[in-house]
Amino acid sequence: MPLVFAAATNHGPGITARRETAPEDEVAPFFEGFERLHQRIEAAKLDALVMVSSDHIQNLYMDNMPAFIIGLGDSFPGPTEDEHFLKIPKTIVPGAPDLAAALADEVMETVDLAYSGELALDHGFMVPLHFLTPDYDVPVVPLIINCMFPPYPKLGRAYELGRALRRAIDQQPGRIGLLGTGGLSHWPAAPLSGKVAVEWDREFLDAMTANRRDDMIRYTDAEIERDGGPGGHEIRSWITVAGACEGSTGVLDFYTPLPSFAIGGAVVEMTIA
Amino acid sequence: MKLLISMQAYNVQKLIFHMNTRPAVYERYGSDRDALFADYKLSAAEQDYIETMNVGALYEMGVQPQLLAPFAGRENIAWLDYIKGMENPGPLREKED
Ligand SMILES: [Fe+2]
Repeated sequence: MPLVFAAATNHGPGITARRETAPEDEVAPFFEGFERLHQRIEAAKLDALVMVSSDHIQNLYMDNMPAFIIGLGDSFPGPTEDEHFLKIPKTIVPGAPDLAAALADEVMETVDLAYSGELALDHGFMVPLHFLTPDYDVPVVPLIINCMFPPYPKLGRAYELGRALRRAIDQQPGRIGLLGTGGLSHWPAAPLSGKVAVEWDREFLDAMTANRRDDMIRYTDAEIERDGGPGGHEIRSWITVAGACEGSTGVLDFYTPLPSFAIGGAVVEMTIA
Repeated sequence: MKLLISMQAYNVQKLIFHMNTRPAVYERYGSDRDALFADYKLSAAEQDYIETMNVGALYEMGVQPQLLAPFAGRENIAWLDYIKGMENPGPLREKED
């Protein structure tokens, strides 16, 4: 079974940018959880990692905005952010162009994808990779969901994308992992930055770990903005992971509000059936 | 549905996007500013808000904050000053001559 690992977690830039200044007792549970995720990803001995995230207006603008776009490049420069801000050194992350093209080809039986040979990786990819594959030795297939400028892809389409990805991944011979990143509730770079909507996060996590699709996709965009903040749109990445594991449930490794990083922090790992 | 609400402030957002991601455009902001503003068809108010780092006013116009934060960082605005500016619109610095 080629999908051997599926999980979702955060990518807020504060995780690396403000790590040194955050109160230790607040952020320690998060980094311990990240370390457990790191260990499990290593144990999965992945041949490639498909990562789903939003772009943070580092690649894409409204002149040509895809709902979903996959990176077919040989490699990807990252992070796009200044090193003195994000505190992650610039590097080149290996891609998996043949795998990416094969996945795109099968996904497009049911979900249309844009593609690019020139994506660069911003904190949405680089913050988790910095902890989870710190040597950048696992080839990455980046997949971006527009969570920046409406109209956004519908939540149900994010689930469909996951179902299509699963079908495509399962046709591949190697050991492939899937990691969705973003969210949970947050108000990035905005006046309410630092606010975390704990109840909203927990309700979503309950629906995700039970893989109750209808509950996960019931929010309107306006409800997400009001209750989970503009960064809440990134639950789309988590929904895609759940879609890839339709019929299976997941385990919440931890949930902890992280006002210093301006996010609700969590790791969910899905069971692969 | 409100039609394409994010198309508000299209040109000024496009300029900030390009300054954030294309070094040559950011370099022109230093060396060839008036022509750059003209190329992106910025209004006088938009030009003023950028030059004085009035991020709060840009935000109120509809500019995505995730464009503003990295631009403010590059322009040496400290994070807490940036957030204050988002809460209370006004110039964060004086316009250079
Ligand atoms: Fe994000």
